[in-house]
Amino acid sequence: MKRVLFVDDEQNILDGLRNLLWKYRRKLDMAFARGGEAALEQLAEGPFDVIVSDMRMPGMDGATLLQKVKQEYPDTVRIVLSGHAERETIFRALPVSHQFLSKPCGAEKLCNVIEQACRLRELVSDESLRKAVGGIEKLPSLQTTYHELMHAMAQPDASAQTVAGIVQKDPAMCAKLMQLVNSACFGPMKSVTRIDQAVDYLGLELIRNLALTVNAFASLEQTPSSSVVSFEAQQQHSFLTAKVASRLFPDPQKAQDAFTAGLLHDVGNMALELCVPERFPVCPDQVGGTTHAEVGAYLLGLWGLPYPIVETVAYHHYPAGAAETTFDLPSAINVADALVDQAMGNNAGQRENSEIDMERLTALNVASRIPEWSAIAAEEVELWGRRN
Amino acid sequence: MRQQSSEPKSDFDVRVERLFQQNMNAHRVRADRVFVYVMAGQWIFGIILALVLSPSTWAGKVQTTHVHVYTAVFLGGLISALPIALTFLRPGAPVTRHTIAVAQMLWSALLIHLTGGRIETHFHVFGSLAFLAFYYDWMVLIPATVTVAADHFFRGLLWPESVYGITNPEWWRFLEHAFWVVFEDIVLIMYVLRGLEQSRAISRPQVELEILNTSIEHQVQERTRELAASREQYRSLLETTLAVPWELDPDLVRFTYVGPQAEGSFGYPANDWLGDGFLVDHVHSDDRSLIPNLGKMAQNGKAEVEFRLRAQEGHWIWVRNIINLVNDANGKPVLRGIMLDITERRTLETELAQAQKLESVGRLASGVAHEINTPIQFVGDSVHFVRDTVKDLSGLLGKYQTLNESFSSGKVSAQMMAEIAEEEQDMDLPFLLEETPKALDRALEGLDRVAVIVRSMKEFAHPDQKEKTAANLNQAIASTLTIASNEYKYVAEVETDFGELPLVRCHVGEINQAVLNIVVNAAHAIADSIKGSDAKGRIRLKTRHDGNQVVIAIADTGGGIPDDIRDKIFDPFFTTKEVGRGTGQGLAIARSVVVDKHGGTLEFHTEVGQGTTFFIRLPIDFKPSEAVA
Repeated sequence: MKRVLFVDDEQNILDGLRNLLWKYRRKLDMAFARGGEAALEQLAEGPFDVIVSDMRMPGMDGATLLQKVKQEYPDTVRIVLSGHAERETIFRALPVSHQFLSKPCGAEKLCNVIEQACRLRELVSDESLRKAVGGIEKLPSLQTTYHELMHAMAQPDASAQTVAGIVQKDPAMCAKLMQLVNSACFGPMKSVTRIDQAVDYLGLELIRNLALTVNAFASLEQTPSSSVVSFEAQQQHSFLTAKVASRLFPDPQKAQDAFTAGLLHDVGNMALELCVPERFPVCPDQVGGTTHAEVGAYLLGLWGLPYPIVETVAYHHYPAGAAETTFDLPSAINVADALVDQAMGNNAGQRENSEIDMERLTALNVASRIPEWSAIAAEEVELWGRRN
Repeated sequence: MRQQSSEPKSDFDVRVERLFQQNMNAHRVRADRVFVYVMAGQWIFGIILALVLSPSTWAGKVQTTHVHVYTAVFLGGLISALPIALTFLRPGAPVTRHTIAVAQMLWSALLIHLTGGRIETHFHVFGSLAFLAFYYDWMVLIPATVTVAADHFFRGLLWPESVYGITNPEWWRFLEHAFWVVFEDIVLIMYVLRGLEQSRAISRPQVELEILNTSIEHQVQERTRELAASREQYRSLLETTLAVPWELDPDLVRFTYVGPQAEGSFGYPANDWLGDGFLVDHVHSDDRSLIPNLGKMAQNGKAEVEFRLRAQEGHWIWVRNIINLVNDANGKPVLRGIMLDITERRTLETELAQAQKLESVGRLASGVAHEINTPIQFVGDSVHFVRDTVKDLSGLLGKYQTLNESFSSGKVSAQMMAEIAEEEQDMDLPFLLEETPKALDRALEGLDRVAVIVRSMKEFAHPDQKEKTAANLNQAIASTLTIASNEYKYVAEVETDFGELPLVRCHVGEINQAVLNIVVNAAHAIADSIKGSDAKGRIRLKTRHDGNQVVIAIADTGGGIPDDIRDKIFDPFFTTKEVGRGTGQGLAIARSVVVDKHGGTLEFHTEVGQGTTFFIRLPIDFKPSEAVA
């Protein structure tokens, strides 16, 4: 049974939530706290899987409470449920919360989020790894990309296209913008997976604030010496995978989704590198039975990215585990990932080459297209080589 | 003025000479006229003398009129005729006076002759010479002297007794007479020359005076022209600018003068303005209460008053009046003022106030949204719960129905009962039965809260109100507190102490705005003073009815207003808040609303470290009929 703690200063809200989630009483062990201090007392009595807190409360407010939770119980998924959707509140919530919901939040949405947060935990069985990933506020960007974005944001006449062009090269920035645009307060009702849409919805002013004031992005100042694969090579691989994956679908919407999924498919590597550098060289792909795919999916899931992306990231090495019935994102990323590795050559053993799940492709009746796709991968790799 | 120049023919000297000649000429004409009488008088005197001394003569026994009588009549007439004629024909001319001189001397000779040379009549010569000296022309003495000398000389030779009264005068007798004549001539010439000089000297100051006069006259003309130009300038300045000057009798509340440009601005001809009750009839009903008090307002000299006047075309014009209370020439107090069209400024102010209202509504919006979002959240949750419960209960009810049917057909099985019991257990029936009514109550409470907030929002903004209307201020303040609650509820408890209030005629939306601005300031002041502690401050709102006023007191327990900024807090754009928390318009607008638009007062009492209390005083009502009286 998952334990969920709800925190609000208004008893009616707590009672309403208790009623709403009554039907989950078999699955969820719910606790309710009026205010930050009461919440901390309950946390001290036993661990919770998820905490859902209001932001503005008298005495200890939501941001302070979640900051304490982040430090003391990093394993707990932190979700904000606030009536204030203004930027100031969100910026304060951003570093301490995984997801941001705004009141009024529909029952279904709230239940989904809580359910999903609980399910996510099953992806990563190692508690210490879960704690480490739960504490990640932001992922590192390549230094040059980071400076490119900072420079663009300092220009008063920066265009959305320029910014989108920079973000689409960088998995970390992409993940952050996706987190924000899919939080209930910024984006549209349905989930957003396209980078250019995310930039449009958030607006340059907000991205500028994120970049310059809130420090939502970070540059990797130095590559950890322990790293087997260079950070730059990883970024390159992600970008090329995104490019190739997007060309596997004729439908432009699907192509954009594939691009985002491709760009993000290896964030688990970054997360692992941030969390357990000492264990990374020993077992680059697995920590306590958890692969980088699951870690990446866990992180993106915590951040509230749309389910198709999270699923794709989780199963990009094992598309059969995903729920797709036709050739869809998980298989596409699996193919693109492997084809890019092939096209680039073995890179002197820097990476372990990904394998194409041929069984799966055969089952989906697309195995015959491999040569065509290989050509695309070779073209993209060559294009990249010419540009750099 | 006077030129001390060596040139003899300076303009000044010429003018002096001319004036002197004019004076002399006038003098000589007058002298001529005198001699007319002298001539005529001497003639008559000569005839009388002849008749008295020798009226008749005896030639034998026949008494005839003496020859002297004829001489006096004819010769005397002859002598006098020419000079008299000349004085009329050529008055002032040298020939006239020279003729007179000769004639005068001839009269002396005639009179001497008529008296038989008596010495007394010789004195006539001396008198005549002196008389002639009146001409101030010594040349006149020459023909006179020559005439008398010739007469004496020739008559002395031919007919001495006619001259000297004796037949054989000594040979020097002539010289003796001549000596006296010459002696007198010398004296008279000296007199004449001196007289001329004096007369000429008198002419100088006269000319100077004349010049001075001319110059003064010139200056006066110039000043007069300047004055006229200046008056015209002022008139055109005053009457062609858009500021309308006016004068008003404060007792009758009637204009006694209004600048002609008023017609252009307002459309009413000047005469209409001066009519009885014009001002009261044309001022906006909201501003009418100001009119009877204009005199009182200007009591301390100056006052500035703004009100609306209806133009002839029907629209309202906002005017600003700068008023002076002065005493007119008769000592009666009058109001003089200048009226400026400030409609545009007022429009801008209204727009600014509107903008500030929108700004504060915008700022409140997120707070209000939170206030609404919270109840909507739990209303939704509760209704969801009730829906699920109803679904569960209807399932259970179905089972009961089946049970009922089974019971009537007598086929109730223990299994059926056990199923129902299990289902009840499973759905936790007691909890549902207990919780459902609570959930519904909660939903209704939430809906009530939303309704109150939405209604307050509408009451706060009053977007449709154009005119002042009667308003319940307690209710208005309560609404304002409702929508502002998010601004203060985390930092302060609010206490209200609403007294019995009459309806107040006002723009209630604007009063709400003023109250809101002060409450928000109070909340901010408290937030600053409790920063870092868990304590809460207190905001107290009190309303009271006080005579013809309503008082709203808003007290906070914030940090008070420091001494050095107390006189600045009502200035537009003055703010002590950080960027984003206020634009410095709040109190400026509050004051504009309370003071300018409602004729009330906005004061505050503050103590550093203790808090601040603002007092809004509003006049309750204004009845147009009272104001007219």
